[in-house]
Amino acid sequence: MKGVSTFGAFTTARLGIYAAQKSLDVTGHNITNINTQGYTRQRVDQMSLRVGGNDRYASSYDTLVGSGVLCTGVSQLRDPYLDIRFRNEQASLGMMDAKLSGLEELTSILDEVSKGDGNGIIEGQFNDLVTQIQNLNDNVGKEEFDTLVRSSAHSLVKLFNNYAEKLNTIKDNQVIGFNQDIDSVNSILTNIRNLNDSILKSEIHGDPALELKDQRNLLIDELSNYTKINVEYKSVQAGAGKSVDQLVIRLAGTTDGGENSQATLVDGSYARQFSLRDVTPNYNYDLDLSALENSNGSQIADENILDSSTSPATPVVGSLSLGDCDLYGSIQATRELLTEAGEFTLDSVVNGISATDPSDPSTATPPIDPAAASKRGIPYYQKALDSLSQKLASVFNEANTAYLSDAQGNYVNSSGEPIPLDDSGTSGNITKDTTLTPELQERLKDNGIKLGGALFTDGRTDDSTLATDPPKITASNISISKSWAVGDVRILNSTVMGATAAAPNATDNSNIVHLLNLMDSKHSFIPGDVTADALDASTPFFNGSFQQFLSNTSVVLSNDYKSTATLLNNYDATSNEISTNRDGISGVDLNDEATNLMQYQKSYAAACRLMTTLDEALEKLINGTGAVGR
Amino acid sequence: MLRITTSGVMRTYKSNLMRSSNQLYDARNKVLTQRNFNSYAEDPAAATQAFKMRRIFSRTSDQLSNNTSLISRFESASTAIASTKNLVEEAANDAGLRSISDPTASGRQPLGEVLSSTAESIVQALNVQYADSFIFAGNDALNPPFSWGDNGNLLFRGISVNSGGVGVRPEGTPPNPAEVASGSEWDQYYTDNPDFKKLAQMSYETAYIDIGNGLSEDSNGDIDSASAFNSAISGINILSFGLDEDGDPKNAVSIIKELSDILKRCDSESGAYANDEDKVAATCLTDKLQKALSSITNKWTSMDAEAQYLKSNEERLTEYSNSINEQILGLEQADLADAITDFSWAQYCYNSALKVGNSILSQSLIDYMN
Repeated sequence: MKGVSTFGAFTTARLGIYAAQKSLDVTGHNITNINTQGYTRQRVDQMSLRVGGNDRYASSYDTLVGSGVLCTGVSQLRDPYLDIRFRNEQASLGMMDAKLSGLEELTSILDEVSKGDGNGIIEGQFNDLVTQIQNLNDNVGKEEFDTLVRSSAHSLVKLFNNYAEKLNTIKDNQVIGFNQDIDSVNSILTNIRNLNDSILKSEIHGDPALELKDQRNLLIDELSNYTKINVEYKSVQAGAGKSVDQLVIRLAGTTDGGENSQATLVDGSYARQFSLRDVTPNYNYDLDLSALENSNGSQIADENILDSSTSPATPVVGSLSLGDCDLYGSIQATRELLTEAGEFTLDSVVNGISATDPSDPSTATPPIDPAAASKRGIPYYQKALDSLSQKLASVFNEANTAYLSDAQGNYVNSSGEPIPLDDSGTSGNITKDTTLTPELQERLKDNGIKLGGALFTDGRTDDSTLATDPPKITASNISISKSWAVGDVRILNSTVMGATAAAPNATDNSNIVHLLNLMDSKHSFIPGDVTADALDASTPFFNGSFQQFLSNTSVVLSNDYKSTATLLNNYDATSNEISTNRDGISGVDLNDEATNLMQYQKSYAAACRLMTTLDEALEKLINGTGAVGR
Repeated sequence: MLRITTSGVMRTYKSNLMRSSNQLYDARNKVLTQRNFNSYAEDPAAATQAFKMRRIFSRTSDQLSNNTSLISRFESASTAIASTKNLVEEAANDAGLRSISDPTASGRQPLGEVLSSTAESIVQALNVQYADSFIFAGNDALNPPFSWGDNGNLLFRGISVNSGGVGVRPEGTPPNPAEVASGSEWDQYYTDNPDFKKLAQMSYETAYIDIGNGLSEDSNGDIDSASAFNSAISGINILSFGLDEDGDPKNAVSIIKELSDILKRCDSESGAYANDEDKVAATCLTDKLQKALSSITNKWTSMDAEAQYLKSNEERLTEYSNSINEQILGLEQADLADAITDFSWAQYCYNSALKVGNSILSQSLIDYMN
């Protein structure tokens, strides 16, 4: 009769003890790892054992009983959906965090609030310049007041130089950080690849390698901060009918992403590496991905990137170029901080370049980033300061350079006579309203009386080259002109001749009042003044006075900062919540483990009790049966 | 959440504690700096407004200091014109009453000397300076405005004040030569009388000072005269210039000088006029001196009115400046009572959070197992 085995029950007891022992081991493992970062709680998988098949001579009175418990393995409790949500939040968090830290550095330089006794530093200096011009206005002809204006202007341009230098330093620091980030990402990708190798080998040999998987998950979490990724597990045959899971990490792609925006970063034992594109200069800090390689250097194709030129399309082997908007995360945030110039963006970046050969559309250059005009990074603020310096210099220089005219508006010669338009003298005179052709300019230059001179230049030592080689003034090179510095040129008090001589009256302040008015009147700031090929290069992006422009730049920065901080707080809160939920599934809870301890200890004791009972029962059978009359 | 785990609790506690700590930090900063916001990003709208107010405050301070210096200058000018008026009045009385009437005829010659020195005194009074600038020199204030020419004529910045007279002079006050239409009557008259044109130009000179009337330029790029204060005073506007329809000078000093010459020519003992023309001229000039005197009196009154205007403008600017200052304080300065209350509350919340932390790691089943 089947199913009756004298010593079979010992196996059951032994298996029970073993299962309880294993479970206690796992519980102990969980408890000791309660503070390990990234640890996922484990549990023993048990299955009840049934040994037996169909007996040819089975009877319906046979009773088949199972033979105990089998430990089929140890598994982790982890919710992959929460992992996906967490990693998506991490990408947004990384993006905002990197952006905010860059904006904070900019704020520390450009924020004028509560500096300079509350008047701001550059703002305060502008106010001081106006005060000195007001003093000069009331004291025309006294050179010491001109010197006061010059000193104030000198302080102002020094501030511009100083700020431009600090902005350059921030940019350089960000570049260093960016390179370090790329190195970190590359080392993470390499480590993930190596872990994939180890996990694969372990799994083939039957070891689920749970701790290695935890380490790998930690690395993937870290990677998701740098760029948004999609993580997949695909099943591959490991041979002999055994299949194992293989990790594939891909770039998640973005709404403005190009054809390579969903490239594979890691495919099992093969991984790519990021690198800066090898072009000089690499203004956009463009990135390339190397080929999918394993530790031996052999390459495979990327199944997600297909070469459309072949038919059917084949996966591409080898390196790839990433577009401007293919990434989303802290790397992209740093790139945007380093490259985005807002209103000063080049037209070719937003609209592309039309085909050089009209009959061949492929010679056109596509746009790099159609949304670039609304993104502002360090270059925008550098160019904004350049724009302000350039406008200040050009307004002052224009107001301070003129030809002498009379009260009716005619330009006059050294005798005080109006200069006629031509030699006949019958067609009228050159006036302030006349459009000056090159000929008329020559005539004026030969006959007229030139007054004043440039007050601001790019720091050159020879002002005579200003006419032939006009200066390109930026915040880092703006300075008081050499002539003003040595006193050859002073602020021009008037451009109109007096009643008694072919020269302005000594205390006529009409040009100084004009300058005063210019300090507070509206000017048009156009991108083309700073970047010749900018988008909408001739449309003003701001109309206002110098100080209003400064205020506007601060407002743009602070609004950006405020909105980024708000978004960061949101993402941080969501990320924390998901993290806590993740912990809820995979974290170790002492109450749980304590209950498990009690439970498994009791089942261990019960299994031992079973063993003892069997032992006693068999003792009776072996030693106490068939010994009649002994 | 399905399960509350230790690490979940720790993470949530840490992030909430950090938030509480941040709030405490912000509240403390507000009390220490006494400002409503310490960076642009904290309140961009208020910061923009505050900087705009500060800019306006700085401009108003400049305008106030301009105004104060103008008041002093105009008061000096007013004093000089008052003494000029008195001198001219004296001369008019001397010439009018004492020299014309026959009983006092013998005093004519000495009177001539007196009138001559009166003319000198008037010129000195009008060559007065204020802070190294000549007040009555119009736009050329580094040099004295009035001087005597070689032929005894009074010169204003090198031009004889008695210029003009060729052709028929059009009616009315001479307009600004810069605004005269080409080919018009005045344009022709000015062309024929270049020195008179120069005098007219000098009488219209401007030196605009910003005293808070909204400095602005018109479409030609010239300052709008209503938006600034003209501080240029031309001495010839006070004493008058040019010749009248009889060919006699309008300038008070010139008239006094001529009278003085006539009286000096009189006989030293009898006081008789040198000739009949002199007698007629003396009577005529005496009347014209009265007209010149009334012109000076008008000018003195209007100068006084301008000085009064400057004083009331000073009050207006001072009040405006105070009001702007209050606005700035309202925007920037924190109400300390509120700030301290907020700080106390934030500190209390932070201490409570710390206290929670003591019991964060509550006991578990393991502590109760034996």
